[in-house]
Amino acid sequence: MHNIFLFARREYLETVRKKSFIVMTILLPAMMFGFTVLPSMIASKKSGEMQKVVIATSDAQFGEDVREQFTNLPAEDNKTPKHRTNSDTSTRSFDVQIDTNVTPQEEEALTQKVNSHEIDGYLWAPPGALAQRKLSYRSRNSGDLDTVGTLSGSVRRALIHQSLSKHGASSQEIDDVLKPVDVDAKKIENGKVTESGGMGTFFSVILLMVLLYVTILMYSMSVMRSVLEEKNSRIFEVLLSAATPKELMAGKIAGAAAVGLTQILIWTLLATPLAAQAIMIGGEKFRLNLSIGNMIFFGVFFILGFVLYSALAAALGASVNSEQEAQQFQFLIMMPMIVSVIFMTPVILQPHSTMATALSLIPFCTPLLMYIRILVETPPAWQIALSLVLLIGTIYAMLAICSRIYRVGILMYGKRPTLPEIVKWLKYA
Amino acid sequence: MEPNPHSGVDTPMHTVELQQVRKSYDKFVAVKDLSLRIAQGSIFGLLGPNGAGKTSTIRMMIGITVPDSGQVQMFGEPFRRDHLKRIGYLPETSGLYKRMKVSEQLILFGQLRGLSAIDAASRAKKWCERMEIAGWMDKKTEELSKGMQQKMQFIATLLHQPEFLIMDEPFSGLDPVNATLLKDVLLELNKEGRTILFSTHRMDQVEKLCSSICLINRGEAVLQGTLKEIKASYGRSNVQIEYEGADDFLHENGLVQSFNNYGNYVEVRLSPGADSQKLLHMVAQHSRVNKFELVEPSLEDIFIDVVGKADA
Repeated sequence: MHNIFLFARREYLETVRKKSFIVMTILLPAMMFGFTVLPSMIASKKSGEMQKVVIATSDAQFGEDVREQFTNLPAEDNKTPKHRTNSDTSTRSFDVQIDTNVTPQEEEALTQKVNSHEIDGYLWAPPGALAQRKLSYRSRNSGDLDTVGTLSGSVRRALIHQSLSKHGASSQEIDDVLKPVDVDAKKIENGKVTESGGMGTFFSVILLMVLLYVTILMYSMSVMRSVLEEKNSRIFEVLLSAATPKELMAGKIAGAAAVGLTQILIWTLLATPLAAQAIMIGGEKFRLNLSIGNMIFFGVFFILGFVLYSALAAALGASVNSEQEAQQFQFLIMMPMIVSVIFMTPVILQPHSTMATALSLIPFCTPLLMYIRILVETPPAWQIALSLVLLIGTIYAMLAICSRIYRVGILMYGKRPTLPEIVKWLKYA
Repeated sequence: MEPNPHSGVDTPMHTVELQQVRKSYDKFVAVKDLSLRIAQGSIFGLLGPNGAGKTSTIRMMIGITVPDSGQVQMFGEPFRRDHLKRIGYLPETSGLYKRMKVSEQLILFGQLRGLSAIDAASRAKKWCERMEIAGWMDKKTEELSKGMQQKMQFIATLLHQPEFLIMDEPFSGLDPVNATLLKDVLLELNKEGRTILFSTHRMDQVEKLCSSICLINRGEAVLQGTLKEIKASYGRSNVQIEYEGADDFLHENGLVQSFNNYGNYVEVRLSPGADSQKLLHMVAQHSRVNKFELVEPSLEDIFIDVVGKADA
């Protein structure tokens, strides 16, 4: 036990002092920040620019109504789900002009204005098109779905406005009718409504998955490299005259796991202000779903997943002679991780399906997939318990097998062992 | 002198005793039923050409591998893992963590052998001063030269004051000054009663230091005993000749069994029963003799003789 601690501490200190650890600890959150928060910040900045839009319609009153809807009404209603994008149109501002000339010459003139950047686009609404409710919007950027969505919503509301006014409704009454409905998704857990739900759950699932995936993969690979390094520097000869291979392997895995946990802890501390930032930008719906229970499960699945994968990595490192050789076999370790990531979205959408249940009980997928299910919709307790039993059983078996491969492999130099040879190693007493 | 109560007069205490030890990897037999004894307090040489099974033998001695058959007795008992705390092993190739600081690494090795961190640190400091690398204790191991790393590895094997030291090619990579420093320390440790095992193929070193040897070839012991006995059994049957002129006499089959040309002189092994005076006459006929001396065969000659015969 004392030796395991010594090896673990050595492994831990050496890794934590490395430059790559410090770089990785800062770089990964920076990258995640770059991929998630930054685009929406940029998008909301861009919307600060005034968009010049011309509404060409012979009905001046209709034009006024559309303009009013454009500038006054709540943003949520402007967006149909089809047009929902990352950026938030509520802060975009439009300069809407009305043009009552709908002759073909004017259409040509407006086209030229768009071309010369005088305006950003125009809505072509001659009387016939309005009756058919088929208008066209012409702009340099046909991919600007936000503006198109805002326009179509505004036109639709203007038409409703017009027709209700004809039936004698007051402007106030019409606004009440058109008021958007807010559906708030919240998760029921243990019979209680929780504060989390919707996008918040989705984001925290993705975030925690990336953390689990990246740290397990990264540090199991670092266990492999460190075994290889010790093998190539022949340091095993010395270490084995003082400790057993099992102590060495256990110390190595424990040290690397401690490094992984340290990194996660640093990230969690870094993430707290970032999450607050995300809520400021995106509103309450971005609130992360990180309850104490979820974090405990995170720790449990991290450690178990980590031990499973790094035992495999240690055995791999012991049975090859160089990193190039090891790379050919890394897919053996990465495959179940990649499978888990591929099935992540289906499992999030249908966490109680037979497929999700079956996959999450496969020990190599359990750390990622069972954890997703717990986050999204807590599965029955017996399933969690079963998955843990299977996982721990597999870890026990893998440790027994891998420490045998390790024990023989670390003293074998020269040629790469064949599979039958590895099987033979398992039989050595 | 009173007889030692723990060991009878007939059976002196042995630090290590291998009995019919065998180790094979697949079909290759690395060590073939090897038996040897290393007397307590002696300096013992385990000799053999590259690949003879020296390292395999040492690994079984200290439990890194387990023999397929046979017995390993350590300090008079069947080998147990806690014997390791009384053994120091210097492997042939340096096995050090490259990125660790010298002092931290020495402390780690001390702790692995059961020392407290404080004890390990003070002993490491003392030894680094003795081995003249004290100025490097705060450097990373990879910044040290090969010779300094060898000295550092040597210190790592001594920190826990082992009773039994295993030195696998300890002088490799050391210049003559450092080799002498290391040799002096080893002799000092031996005087304190510690047993030392040298594993090497450098015969000249063994000849200077060891009292007993075991020569192994292809996993088998081909020659063992005290250095004195072995040399005596070969007799003064070698002649060192310094000469100027023709070397026809070297090919005189009746007199010369084998010879070894060192450039400045030639060492000739006489055929059994041959008269050295006859050879002297023969040499003098064709060349000018500067030196003609009867000597004991060097260990190297014995080594080449024995191994050559076995391989023939």
